[in-house]
Amino acid sequence: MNAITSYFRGPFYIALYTYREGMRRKLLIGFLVLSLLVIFGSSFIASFLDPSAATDVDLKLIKDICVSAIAIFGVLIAVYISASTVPNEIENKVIYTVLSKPVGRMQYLLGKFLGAQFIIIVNLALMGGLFFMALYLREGVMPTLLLWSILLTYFEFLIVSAFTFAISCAATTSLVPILGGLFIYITGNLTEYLKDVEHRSGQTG
Amino acid sequence: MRGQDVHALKDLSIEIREGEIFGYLGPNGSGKTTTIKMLLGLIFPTVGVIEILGSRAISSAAVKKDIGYLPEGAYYPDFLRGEEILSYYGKLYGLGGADLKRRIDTTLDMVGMQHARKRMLRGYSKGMRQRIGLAQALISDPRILILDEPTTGLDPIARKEIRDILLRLRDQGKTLLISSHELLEVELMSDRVGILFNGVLQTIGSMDELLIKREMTVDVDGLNDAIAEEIKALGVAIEDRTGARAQLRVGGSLSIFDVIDLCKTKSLQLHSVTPRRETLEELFVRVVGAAEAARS
Repeated sequence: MNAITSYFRGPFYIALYTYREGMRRKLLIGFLVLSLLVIFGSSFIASFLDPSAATDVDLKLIKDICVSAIAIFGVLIAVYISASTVPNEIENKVIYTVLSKPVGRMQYLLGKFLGAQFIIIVNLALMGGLFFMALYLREGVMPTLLLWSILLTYFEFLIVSAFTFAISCAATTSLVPILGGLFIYITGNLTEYLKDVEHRSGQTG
Repeated sequence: MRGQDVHALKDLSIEIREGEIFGYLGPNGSGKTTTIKMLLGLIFPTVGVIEILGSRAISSAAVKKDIGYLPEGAYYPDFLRGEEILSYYGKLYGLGGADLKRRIDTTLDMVGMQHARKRMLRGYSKGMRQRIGLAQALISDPRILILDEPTTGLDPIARKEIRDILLRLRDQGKTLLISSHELLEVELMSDRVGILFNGVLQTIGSMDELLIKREMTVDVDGLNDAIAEEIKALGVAIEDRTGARAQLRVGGSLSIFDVIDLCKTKSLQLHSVTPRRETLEELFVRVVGAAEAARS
C-alpha cells in the first residue's frame, strides 16, 4: 500500500501544479470567459422571444446555443491544454528539473495527463453549471438529464484529449498535436453524418 | 538505412571528491551536458558505469534525493509564484508540512528572494529566475549540486552573490559540479577542473597543478620605441602598452633580476613586480587548441 501511495504521490503533485498553472493561462481563461458569455447570452437572446408561445422554442434555442458553446469551447480547451503541456516543458527545459527529482518518466506523463484532465473537468463543470442554471431559471425544474449529457461530453473530451496528449509526447511543438486533436474530433463527429450519406446513397443508387 | 553513430563521450573517467567544487569545462558540443544528463539518469551510457554516493542505481529515488540540479537557461512554469515552484519541487522530493515550509524559507533567504516569493515567475528578471532556480536545486538540502551555467547572463553583482552562495555551500560540505563557459567565475570558485573536448577529457586537476606559474609581470614607465625593441630582443614580451607605460612579461630562461637591471640602466620607472600565473582561460585555450590541432 505504501509503495502505491509513494508511486502516485509524484503524479498527483505534478497534476496539481499543472492544473494550477494551466488555469492561469490567458488563452484558457479567454476560452472559458467566451463560452460563459455565450451561455449567458443564450438566456438573454431567448428572453426576446414570446414567452406565451405554445412551443418551447426559447428553451430549444438556449439548449442549442449552450450545447454548441460547450462542445466548441470545451474541445478547444481540451485540445490546447493536452497538446501544449508536455511540448512546452520540453522546449523550456522545465522537464529536466522535474525528471531530476525522484520522479520517473511514466509518473511525469501520468501527472501531466491528470493535470490536463483536472483543467478540462473544471472548465466543463463551470460551463455546464451555467447551462444548468440557465435551464433551471427558465424551466423551474432540475434538468437532471443534463448532468448525464455533461458526463458523456466529458468522455468525448477525454478521448480527444488522450489522443492529443499521445501525439504531444512525440512532438516538439504543440502545433502538430493541436491539429491531430482537432482532426480526430471533427472526424469523430462526422462519422454519423458520413454513415447517413452512405445509407442514403445506397437507397437512391 | 542507418546513420553514423556519434559518440558524445569517449572513455570518460572522472572522480569528483566529496566537498569540492569541480569545474567542468569544454567548448560547445564537447559533451558536458550529455555527462550531466547521464549523472541525472535522464540518458544512459552505452558502456561504463556511473556511481553516485557509492550507488550505481543513479535513477533511484534514494540517490535522486541527494542531488539538486540547475539546468542551463532555466525556465520554470511561468504562471506559478516563486514559493509555489519551491513547494512543487519540494513535494516531488517527498517533503511536506512544516518541514517543507522551513526549507522554502531557508532557501529563499539563502538566495535572497524572500521579497519576491509571492510574485509569478513571468514577472521575474533573468537574475531572479536564476536565483529561484538555485533555490529549487537546494530545496531538498541535497549533498550534491549539479549546476549548468549558474552565472551566465547575470550582472556582476548578481554573479558575485551567486558565487558567494556556492562557496558557502561548499564550506557546508556540499559537493558541486559546475559546468560553465564563464571561466573567470570557475577559476575563482573551483577546487579542481576538468576540460572536455570532443567527448574526451583532455586534462583534470587542481588549479595549482594545471596552471603554469613560471612568468612574472613587471609594470614599467618611461618606455620608448628604442628601449622597447631592446627589451623585445632579450625575449621579454611587452603587453598592454599605453604610451610610455607597459607591462613586461618575463618568462622562460630569463631571470627577473636581468630585467630589473635593464630597467635601471635604461632609467625606466619600475612600478611593480608580480608573479604571474596562467589564467584558466589561457589554460583552456591552450588545452583545447592542442586537442583541436591533434584532431586535424
